[in-house]
Amino acid sequence: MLDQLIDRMVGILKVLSAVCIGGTMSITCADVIGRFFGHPILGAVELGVLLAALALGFSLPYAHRQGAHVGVEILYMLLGKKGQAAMRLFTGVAGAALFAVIAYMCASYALDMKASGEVSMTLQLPLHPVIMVISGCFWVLMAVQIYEVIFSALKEIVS
Amino acid sequence: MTPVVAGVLGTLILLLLFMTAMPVAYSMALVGFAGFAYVINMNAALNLVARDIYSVFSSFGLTVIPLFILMGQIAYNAGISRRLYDCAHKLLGSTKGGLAAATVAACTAFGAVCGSSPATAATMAVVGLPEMKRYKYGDALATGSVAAGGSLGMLMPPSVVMIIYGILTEQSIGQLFIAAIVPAIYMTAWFCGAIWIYCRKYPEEGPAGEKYTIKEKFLALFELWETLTVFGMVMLGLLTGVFTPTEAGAVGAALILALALLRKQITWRGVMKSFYETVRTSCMVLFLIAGATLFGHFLAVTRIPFEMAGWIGGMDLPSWAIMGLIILLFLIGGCFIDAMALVMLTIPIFYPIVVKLGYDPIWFGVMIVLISQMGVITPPVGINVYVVQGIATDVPLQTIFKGAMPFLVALILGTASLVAFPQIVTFFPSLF
Amino acid sequence: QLTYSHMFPPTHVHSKLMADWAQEVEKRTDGRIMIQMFPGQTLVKGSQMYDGVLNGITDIGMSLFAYTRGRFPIMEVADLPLGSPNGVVSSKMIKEVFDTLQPKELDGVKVMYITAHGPGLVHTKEKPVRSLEDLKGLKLRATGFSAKLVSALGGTPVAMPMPETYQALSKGVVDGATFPYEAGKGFRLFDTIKYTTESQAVAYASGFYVVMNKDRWNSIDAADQKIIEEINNEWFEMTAETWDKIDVIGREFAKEKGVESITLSDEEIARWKKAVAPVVDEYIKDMDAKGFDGKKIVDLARNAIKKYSSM
Ligand code: NA
Ligand code: NA
Repeated sequence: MLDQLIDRMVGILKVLSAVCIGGTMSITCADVIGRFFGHPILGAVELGVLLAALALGFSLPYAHRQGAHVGVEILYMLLGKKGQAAMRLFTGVAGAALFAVIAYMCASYALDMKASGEVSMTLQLPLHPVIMVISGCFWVLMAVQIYEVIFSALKEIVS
Repeated sequence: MTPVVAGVLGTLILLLLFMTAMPVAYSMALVGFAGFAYVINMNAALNLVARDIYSVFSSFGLTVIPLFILMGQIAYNAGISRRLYDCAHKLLGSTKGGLAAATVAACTAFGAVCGSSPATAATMAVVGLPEMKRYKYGDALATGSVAAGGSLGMLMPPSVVMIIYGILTEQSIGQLFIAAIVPAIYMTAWFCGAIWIYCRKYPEEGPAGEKYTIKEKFLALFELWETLTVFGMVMLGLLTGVFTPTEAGAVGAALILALALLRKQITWRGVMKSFYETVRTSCMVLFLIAGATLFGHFLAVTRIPFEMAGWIGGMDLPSWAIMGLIILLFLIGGCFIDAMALVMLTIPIFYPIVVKLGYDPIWFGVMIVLISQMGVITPPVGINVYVVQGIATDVPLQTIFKGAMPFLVALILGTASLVAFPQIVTFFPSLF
Repeated sequence: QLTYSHMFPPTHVHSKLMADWAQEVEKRTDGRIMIQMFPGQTLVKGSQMYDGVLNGITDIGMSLFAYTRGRFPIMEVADLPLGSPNGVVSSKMIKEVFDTLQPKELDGVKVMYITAHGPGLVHTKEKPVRSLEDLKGLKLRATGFSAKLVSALGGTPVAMPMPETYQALSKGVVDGATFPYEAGKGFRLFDTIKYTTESQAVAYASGFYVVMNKDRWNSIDAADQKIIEEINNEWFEMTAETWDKIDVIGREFAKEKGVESITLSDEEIARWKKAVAPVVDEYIKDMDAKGFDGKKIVDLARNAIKKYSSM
């Protein structure tokens, strides 16, 4: 049940991420073609960059769930089954704490940006919503991480 | 505890964390955060984390990475890379390690449209690894050649590190670019030599295939037309100023997608799969860069890079020995810190010394790109190796580092030969 | 022990000037205050500098107001095409705006000093620009406010980071760019540029700030604060003059590279001025909407330029 819910959420974010990266590609190409004929798209660079930032945010839980991030297992391999589970618990909690810090601080950064009135250079788009979305993605990432820790490492230690 | 001691300790803790199977990107972010909190203060570190992550995610220069990866994914899922390697196999497959040599050469060629080293490694890994596996190449050689090939992509103009060097030292970027072409080809030859020797020692890593007749080889060349068309269009667009190198990724991805759709080589499912794989891999690469940025900021406030550079610069040694020490510093520094940051931190100290020793500034620019690229394949923080491992998930990291080793040796020897014979670098630009 | 971050490459003249400031502070406070420099965005990015100082990531920071559009509405007045003739006048103008209005937007930090660069001019690669008609349809690299200036003059603004401009110019992605003479040397742009239009009459300037974290500033004792303020006053003058000095060097470099300098006729200048007037009007309207007195700010800046130009 919880499993399905998480997969569902990660899946939706994955689709959003793909759409955003497609957006970056399309806007850049449209700008290149437009410029060739003397009509570049004003602010295409900004839009492309912001979409890419959103794409990376949305992809965080998916990449994590897919085990995309590279790790070294030299020490880990030397441990026994229980030891490995304990180490997973330790790194899992450390990771979740890191994501919580990032999520919280990104939210605070977004609020700072909102209060400061800072906007993008050419189109004058507000930047804080993008940072807020990235913050939200890190909260989801943290939830996924905690779920994984509880259901894999903890289970093994208890059994 | 002085900042320098904190920096050394932080690095040791990072090494320890690395071995716990915690993702490298997370470890670097964690240690960078904790270290910055120790050296500066907690509040600053908390704010730094959010800002570094956002600034990497929203960096204009880094948007090429997802777009080039997308290009590689589409080429793979549309079977374009398969046909490319079939052709390379017919042409060069009868030589031991021939496909690896072709991959390295392709990295250099790809470097002519892409200015970023991890982007080159990622794209070529997506395209080349499954194909080399298909032809029974060993994991070490296959992954090592794409990881190391990325560094040649950086040497071949356009190149981000070279632009930074040009601005830092007020050297003509155009001259630097011209000067880098010959060394890029020269280093490709060294890499091919490394492959040849490696395959003599480990023949099973790069097995020779069957021989083909001249006619078959000639016909195989026609298989290349689609790739060459896209590559040619991107090159042409770059050279005639239709778009910038940063835009080349988007244009390349769109062109190859259009080509695959037009020739009905890719299904809708294949397109979606390409996009999902792209965001997965891009997230891995950019989180890695974000982690390295955080860790780099921690090392910067410990002042270790400045201290080391100043220490080397202050020594009274013959010029070749100073050059050797600079290379050594980049080799060691590159183990822990991102190439671009290292260039920015140390060039201002080294540049006046090197010029005073009588070395040519353009030559030194080429050397800097070369030696900064050694760091991308050395353990423990070898960004290209991690990038490749994130794509070849079934290959252990140690295997990739091992596979990159012959190329590192080739890089060092090749660089040494450029110190001994600087004419290899300086002759070609002197014609202009 | 303080950290000082900025965005200039470590080999730049301004980089050395800032390092000299730091040394002067160390010297005159007898080493009670020590400062470590982090040039070239090695610690904080230019666009995140102000925020970085606010949050203590760096204690002192130097960057450009224009990097964070909307954050400094009043100080952005310098980016308008008001036609300041040189860096000293631009700097005195922006200083006067700051001193007179004491804008709230800089309340979070302790301002060390604020300067502005020399006139941002129109440079082109192939087509000489002698009249507004020549500019029509030309693609010029410009971001933020200067993008508006380019549009108003009839050109097409193309946004890209400064380090990338060299490559874009040499390959013809853009036909030209707007920048002060100084940047033409620093970013090697005169390797490709062939014509400079002396468009001083509609030139923009950009404000540069040096600011310190407020808590850090308050932790310094009053006597040392006074010493630093004195040094700041000296460095304001020196920095303002340096903007012009490096513009002269940039101009010589351009000459060496064979760049042709184009002077506009008086009637052409009048046309250019008329063309850019809507940019200023738009700023006034925007500021009024935000609850400021837009006209007052622009008049203050205009009068300051007039006053200091005739001195
Ligand atoms: Na390249
Ligand atoms: Na390394």
